[in-house]
Amino acid sequence: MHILSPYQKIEGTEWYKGTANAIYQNIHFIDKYSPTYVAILSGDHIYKMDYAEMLSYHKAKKAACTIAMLEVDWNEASRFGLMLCDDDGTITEFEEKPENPRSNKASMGVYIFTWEKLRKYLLEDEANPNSTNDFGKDVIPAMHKAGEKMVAYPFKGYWRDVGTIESLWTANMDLLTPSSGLDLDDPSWKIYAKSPSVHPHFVSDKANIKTSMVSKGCEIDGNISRSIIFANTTIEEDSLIESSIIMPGATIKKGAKVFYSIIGENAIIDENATIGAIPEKDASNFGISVVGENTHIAAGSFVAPNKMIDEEGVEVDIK
Amino acid sequence: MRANNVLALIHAQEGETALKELTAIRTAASVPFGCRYRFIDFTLSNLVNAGITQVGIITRNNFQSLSDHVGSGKPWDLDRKREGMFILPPFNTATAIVGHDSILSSLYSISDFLEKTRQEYVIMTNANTVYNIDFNDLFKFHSEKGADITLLYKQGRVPSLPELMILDLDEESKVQQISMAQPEDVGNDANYSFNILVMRKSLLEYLVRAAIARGETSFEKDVIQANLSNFKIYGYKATGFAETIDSLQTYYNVSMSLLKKENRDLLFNTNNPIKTKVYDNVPTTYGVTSKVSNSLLADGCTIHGTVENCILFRNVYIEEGAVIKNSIIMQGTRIQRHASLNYVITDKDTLITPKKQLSGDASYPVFISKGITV
Repeated sequence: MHILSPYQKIEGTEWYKGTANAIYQNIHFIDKYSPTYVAILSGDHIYKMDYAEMLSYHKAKKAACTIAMLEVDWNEASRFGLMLCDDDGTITEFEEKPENPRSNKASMGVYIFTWEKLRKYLLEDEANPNSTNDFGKDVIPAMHKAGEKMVAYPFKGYWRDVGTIESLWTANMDLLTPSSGLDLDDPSWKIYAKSPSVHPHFVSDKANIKTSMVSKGCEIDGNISRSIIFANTTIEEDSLIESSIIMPGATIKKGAKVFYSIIGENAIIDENATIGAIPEKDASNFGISVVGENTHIAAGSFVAPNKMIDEEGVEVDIK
Repeated sequence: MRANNVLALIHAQEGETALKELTAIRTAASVPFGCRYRFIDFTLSNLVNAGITQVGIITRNNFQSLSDHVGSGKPWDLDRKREGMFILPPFNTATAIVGHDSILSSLYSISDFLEKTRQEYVIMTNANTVYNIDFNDLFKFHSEKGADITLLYKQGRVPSLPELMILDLDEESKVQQISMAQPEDVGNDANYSFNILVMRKSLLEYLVRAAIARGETSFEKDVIQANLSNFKIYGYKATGFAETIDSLQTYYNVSMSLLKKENRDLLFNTNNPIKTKVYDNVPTTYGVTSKVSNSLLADGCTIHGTVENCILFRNVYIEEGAVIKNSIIMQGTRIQRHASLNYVITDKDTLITPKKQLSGDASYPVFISKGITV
């Protein structure tokens, strides 16, 4: 595995300007392997997919570009980049987050390209001063306009982009809902990760845990429901955690309450503090509360819904 | 003496006759303990935390599960280009005249390994001790005392193990007398040796050769006890968490002692962390009907029933209505609806079918062997 960081050129160093520019700046790296195909994936998507099947599809269709496609709920379709396809799966038209969607076939942001083709369009895209150097906005439409064969690969199963606070929270909550289709405990398709070498988690006789997941190294004395508890957290007695995500090393002190929140790594929620709230029926300005990593929330204080607090104690609106 | 100059030997089989239920299918070293560990993890972690870089694991039979667990030694940073971890099986040389049926004969049969390693000192350890100790303190003691041999000992209840040395020490911690524990000594309070010791490698080689030449068979009697007057033998007292597992009952009691925070803090001391093979398990899932208290749980479990005063290993599944109390449930066990377990130890991959009731006693836990369906 290679990590390709920006700012590596001898002259004219620059950050990655967009998703396509990030690949453009590493053309020499890709050329070293002279691949026939290139898969371009995102690091902030939660899904389980056999890329080999998608590649077979790409080859069988003799496509220049194959885009993984998920049929989404029509009500939600306008939040996605959509594709219109013919019977053969060939993409005839793209629509970016349209108000009145004509398709529910959403792009998952998972691409396989024939490298020779992609290389050509990346060079052209870089030469175009009006381009934002983005795959979805610039390169894919340019290929389509030029008449390249572009196909949609139908994917079935769980997929979620977790690039926002709300989607990150929702994806975590999906772990607690078997009907969501997100199953990480599948021996035939394991999810590998760096795992801390710490002792098993302990649940005391004061604890009460329902519908939750708890990782290793935790010491639990409090009340937890519908929550995801990462490794090495301490949840003290008489605390209450509801529909929240507690990240590694965080401490929830005695009597603290955490509702619909994400608590960052090594944060401390001191005694009797309250983070977030339980949404009421009509809660138009409701949102997840976030406590940043290494942040200390003082005893008895309150963090409102839809607010995020960072290490310096600065509070910002999320939405 | 620097840890880097100490070769470590682990007798993976030592003490396993005492734990016959758990060692029928594995070495003592690979007995599962504390939700996610094997006995050998404690020794290996103590060794590498002290800075030791060369470890030989002496095996006899049944060591498939051990080699599966330790692999190349990666979790302990022992998968090194220079030195690292070596498994030393019996009958490994063309001229082997002895196997690994005793500590003495196994030390003799690994003469080549001892000879080719560069370290000046050797620490000999076993695999039936669950402990967290800084071996550098032991090495420092050994140097400061100018000892020829230093034995790690504990003051406490004498375990029921063969060839167990009981030490009489003077005020300077010099061993004055060594007696072999007799059945009537078991359970009494005394200073007993863990059979974990340090000496110069050349001395060990010499003593082993001499004992074999005399046709002797016992390391403890013929190498250590018999040489008490010839060498300066000292005792170093283990403090903190250090327990010898000599029976299923002790295994149960020591496991259960981890439900106390002070014991967990000692054994899983974060400054001297215990490392083990890592599996990519999901976290443990608690269902809406789960009720868990005073228990230690590994990753990958699914709990829908009641769990009280228990140790649960990886991938245990407790169905709704099942009630598990005061029990140790090993990896992959499934306990079905409305089954009830009290004072039970299940080995790996057992299945307890619906409504079954199994009950032992605090002084005699029921043991269910690997893969059994009840």
